[in-house]
Amino acid sequence: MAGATSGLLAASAANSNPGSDPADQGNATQGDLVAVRAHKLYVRPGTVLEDATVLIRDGVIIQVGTDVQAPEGARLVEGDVVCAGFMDPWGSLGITSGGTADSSTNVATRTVDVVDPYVHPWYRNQALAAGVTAVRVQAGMASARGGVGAMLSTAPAVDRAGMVILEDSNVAAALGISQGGRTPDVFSRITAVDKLVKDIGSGRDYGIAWTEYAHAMTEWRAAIEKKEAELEKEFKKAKKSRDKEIAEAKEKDKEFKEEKYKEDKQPKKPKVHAENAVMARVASGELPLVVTVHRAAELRALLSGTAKYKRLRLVIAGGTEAMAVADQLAERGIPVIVQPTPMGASRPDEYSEHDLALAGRLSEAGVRVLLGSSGGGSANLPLLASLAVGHGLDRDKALAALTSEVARTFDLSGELGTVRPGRRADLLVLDGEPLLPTTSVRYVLSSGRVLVSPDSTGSQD
Amino acid sequence: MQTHRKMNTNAFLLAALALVAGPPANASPGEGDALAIRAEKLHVGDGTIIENGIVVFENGKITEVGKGAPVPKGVVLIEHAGHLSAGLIALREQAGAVGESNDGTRAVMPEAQLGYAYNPRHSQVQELLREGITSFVIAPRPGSLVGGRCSVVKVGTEVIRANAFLSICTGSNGLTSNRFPTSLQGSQAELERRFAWPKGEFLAAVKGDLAVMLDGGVTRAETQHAIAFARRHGLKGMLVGSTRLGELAPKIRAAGLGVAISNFSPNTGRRVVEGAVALSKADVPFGFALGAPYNHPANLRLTAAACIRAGLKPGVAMKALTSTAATLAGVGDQVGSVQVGLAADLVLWSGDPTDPGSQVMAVYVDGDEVFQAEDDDENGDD
Repeated sequence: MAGATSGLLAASAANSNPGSDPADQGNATQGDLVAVRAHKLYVRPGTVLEDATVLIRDGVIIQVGTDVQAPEGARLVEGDVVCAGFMDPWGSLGITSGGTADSSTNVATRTVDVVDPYVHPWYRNQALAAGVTAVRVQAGMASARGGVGAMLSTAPAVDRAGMVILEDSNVAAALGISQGGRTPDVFSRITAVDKLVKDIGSGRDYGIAWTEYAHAMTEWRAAIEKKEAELEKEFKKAKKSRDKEIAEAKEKDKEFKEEKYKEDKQPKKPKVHAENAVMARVASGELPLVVTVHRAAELRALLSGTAKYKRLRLVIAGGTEAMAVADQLAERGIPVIVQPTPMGASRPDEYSEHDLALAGRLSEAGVRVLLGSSGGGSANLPLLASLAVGHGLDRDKALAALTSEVARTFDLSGELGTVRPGRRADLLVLDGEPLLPTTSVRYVLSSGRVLVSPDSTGSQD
Repeated sequence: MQTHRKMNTNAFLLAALALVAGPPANASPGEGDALAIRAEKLHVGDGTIIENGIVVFENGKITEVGKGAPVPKGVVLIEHAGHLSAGLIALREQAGAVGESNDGTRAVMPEAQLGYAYNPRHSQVQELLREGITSFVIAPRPGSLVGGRCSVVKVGTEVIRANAFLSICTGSNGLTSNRFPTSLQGSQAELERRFAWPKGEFLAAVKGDLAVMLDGGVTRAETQHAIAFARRHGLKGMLVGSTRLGELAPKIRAAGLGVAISNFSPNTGRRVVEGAVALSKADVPFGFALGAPYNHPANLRLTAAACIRAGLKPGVAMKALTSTAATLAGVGDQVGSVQVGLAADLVLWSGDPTDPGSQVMAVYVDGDEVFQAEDDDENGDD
């Protein structure tokens, strides 16, 4: 079953093709041309074009520029400001609540298996109307190992294939999270860090073992081939000598011993281990490892423990006390997904030092900052991002924290996060600057389809 | 006392137009000192904005307001490249009184006065200043039928109105399982009995001398009951705790009640914020309740911003944060507007106060500068 799902999702990962989607009726369907014209176009935060046009075909941006002409027959969408769709790098919209809350997940758990197009339709519509076009979701959000996360579109869909943008965006782990109001003590917390570091090591060893096996197999096959060629070449001679040896053995009433070649011994296959296989992808840097961790003690232990894994791509989620290790985070290029939610006195223990100024301070210290909702509140993420601005985060950095930085962190720079040719056309048309409460989202395009427009008032069903 | 020298030069263009005799550190006026601030945009509080408006204050009170307001000789004029407004007001808080703000044994105690529980030096109170909140209503926690009399307090200083509201829970919020009354019907019967032959605080409420803070509960039925209860007994005041404001706005209007909109939580839906838009359309006066310290002070402005995003006019949101809240709490003649004669409770913002992206640069309470944004990123001193 898992294999079948994998094939289904892999097909969709390249680009969405929901021709059967009910939401695109009457809108620009796939294959149509859409031209989006703006007075101000954020190609990426900090790079702005005045009076520019974005041309979209088959859901993909094909041209961006000030001299781009909208061809005859193209649907024209106009507005003041255009930017890439917002992405919530830490959300839960589109997966079952059981999947989100599952505490028995492991690194081999695949979040795509709990993706369901029929959960949270209202919240997903709200998120879309607020300009959040993609959400990274994670099964087992507070579990020690959340497994393989996925990037989903918030566009209405009838099947999983229509939702999944990337089926393996990352692997997730959590350290020191309070469960049921109980906070793990410092020893168990540090032990948990050691365990994670050890798991990364096991993954690396596993990867090495399989790579060595693959090499050994290649060598072995080559040796076999060589020997076979040799044997074939001198087959008659060899057969003759073998027949002779058999005859001699028979004569002397001895058992004939076939000559053994070293190459007959096939290299030993390492044992298959699903979790180590995923961790190997983490250790090799193929998948980023998102670690939800808040306290300075665990952050320090994690950073020192993982320093030897040079290919590892860590991402910190939460990072309440990350300022204590800001220098290291900046030096190692480790991004932090900050949750810019205001929290009152009844917050969990790991958030006790929670400060709305964190995003601004980290950014000031040279740390890459992403902003995430840490739950189902993706629709409010743009508002929370402006709160982070009000507490010291640069406005362009805040915009990047919802667009280009998210795409970069999860290997989607070629597809999302910027308004450039070749990217998926997830675009927002606004009537003012992004991240202002007075700015309304006029149009939202997801994969080139206009899903929100002033007359749709944010609801598609 | 802090000096203005430390202020962020990006946001503040400080110009001492007149030299003052005396220690330069004394730019922040204490007793008898005067100060003037010119802001690019001055929010009066009634919805109007004065461009390049000047406010002059002395002895903690505002003495002049206007575009060309005269600055008395010898008074320092601070140029503020940003917005200025009256301090924000939150309508139902426990900050500085946690643990003292409810009683687990008695369901009805109208004689309790929350102002007595107020500790102005509590860190929970000081945190409010960082978000521009200078006054708030200290109220009992839900869990009693009649939790006591709510007081309006100034952040960090004093009680400015001891008997602002009588706190009444008509809904299930007033129930606890371990003491009388244990059912909603029981609580409603008990309240009806108290108001049938009113005495003391109940009589004052019926006569209109004491406003009520009516916790209507969260459901539609409970909120309707609360509105009907207020109408039946002729109670004035405001409705709190309800989320069914949108659909009941005309009824609230007909009952002559105001509303304290509950804290908007970033993880909840839009019912509350869209309710604010409906209240505004129905012309119901409303302010915001924060629920400090259980909610972060930034939530007050965030709620207003969420309402604006849902369609509320920014001017109405600004009034709800200041002057309307002051009027609802019965202290409109003391705080909530930048008007002559009112307390110099002022906030300097880097931009529009209803934009969560604007920063609080400085806060004045009674003319004293009580908070100033850090001038660089070295922190840890607070």
